[in-house]
Amino acid sequence: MTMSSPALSKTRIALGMLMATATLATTGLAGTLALSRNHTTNSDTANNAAGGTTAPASTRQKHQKPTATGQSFTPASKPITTTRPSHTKTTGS
Amino acid sequence: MMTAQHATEPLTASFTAIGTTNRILVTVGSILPAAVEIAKGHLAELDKAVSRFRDDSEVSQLARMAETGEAWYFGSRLFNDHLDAARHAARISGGLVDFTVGSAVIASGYDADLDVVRARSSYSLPAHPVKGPGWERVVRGGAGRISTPRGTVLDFGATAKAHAADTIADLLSAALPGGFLVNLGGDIATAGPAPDGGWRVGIEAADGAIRQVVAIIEQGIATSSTQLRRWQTDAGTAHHIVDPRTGRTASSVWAHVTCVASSALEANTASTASIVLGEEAPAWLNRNGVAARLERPDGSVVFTSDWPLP
Repeated sequence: MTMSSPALSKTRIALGMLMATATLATTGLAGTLALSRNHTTNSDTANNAAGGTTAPASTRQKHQKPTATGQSFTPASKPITTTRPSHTKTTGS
Repeated sequence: MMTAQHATEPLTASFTAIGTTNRILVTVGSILPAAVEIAKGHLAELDKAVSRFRDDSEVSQLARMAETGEAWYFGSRLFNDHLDAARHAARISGGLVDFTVGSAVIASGYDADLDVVRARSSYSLPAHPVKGPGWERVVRGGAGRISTPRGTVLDFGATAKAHAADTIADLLSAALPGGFLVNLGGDIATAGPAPDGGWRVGIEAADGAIRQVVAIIEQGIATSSTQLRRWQTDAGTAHHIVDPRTGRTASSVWAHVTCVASSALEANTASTASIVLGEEAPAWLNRNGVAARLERPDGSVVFTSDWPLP
């Protein structure tokens, strides 16, 4: 048997609104993040002789997720060859 | 007051999810457990949305709805986000990476987890190739409404891991201090400050050998291969990349193609499209300004003009 009362209903409604607000806040953050990926090309390079790596001197790039209206690849910096050991690997899928 | 300590070398943790090994690298070691939990949480949601191998996923539900006619469906936010990513991949690749090839992939024998597919002694291909309806026939309406033509099976296999890597990297960068590399089964995204000299990524061949190491900073890198997800059919060896123009397994001109782009999504779009294009791939990649390394089954290698020579 399920008991119910006006006070209990109000509590449930308030709790439901709180959860909905929290959900919206969470999904809003994810959505904002998903839409914030932007890339600008930065070809500035500086030589890191100690590490055997040539790396971009200015590394910050703005992120923006590719937009639905984009018709081509987003320009990107070139990768840099290095003689140092890898941190991780891309294996193919 | 606690201050974030940057490690001289990134710290890493790996875990299994979405049928592959995943790796998170951080420049601030103390936040590694929190980063892993965020990544695991996102991948659990991803699996429920887009897995083709779960009966309860949104992709599977939509496929069942389309068995008898045109299907209308209201996708979750995550499903629609991945649909948008897949549409972007289809658009920039000129349809070479097409998320409506699900029925063709199934017809080629990849209709279950790869271990099950490989365990078969052989598989009989249909007499006629099964082509998808084409990505432009999937209509994305307002309020998350999607319509697909009858018989459509969506397959986000070419984009889901890469787009999830991009998303997780951005989530981590927004929530935690330091820099991040997210490697989901070889599809790699980065965000935030990189270690000195960049994130160093080894290009691994099917035999496990590292062919070259390149460094990336706030870029994505991905490899597509015709050598790993393979199985036997009555018409020979098949692999998991279908040419949407024919409905058949793409040719194996290239053993592996590795691409670097502004995101993991665009990198994997370029590498998958290159497998489909075969010999035309280097010219196409150069036209699109994508740095790429293409290796043939005999081990010979072709680089695009933006790829750093070893």
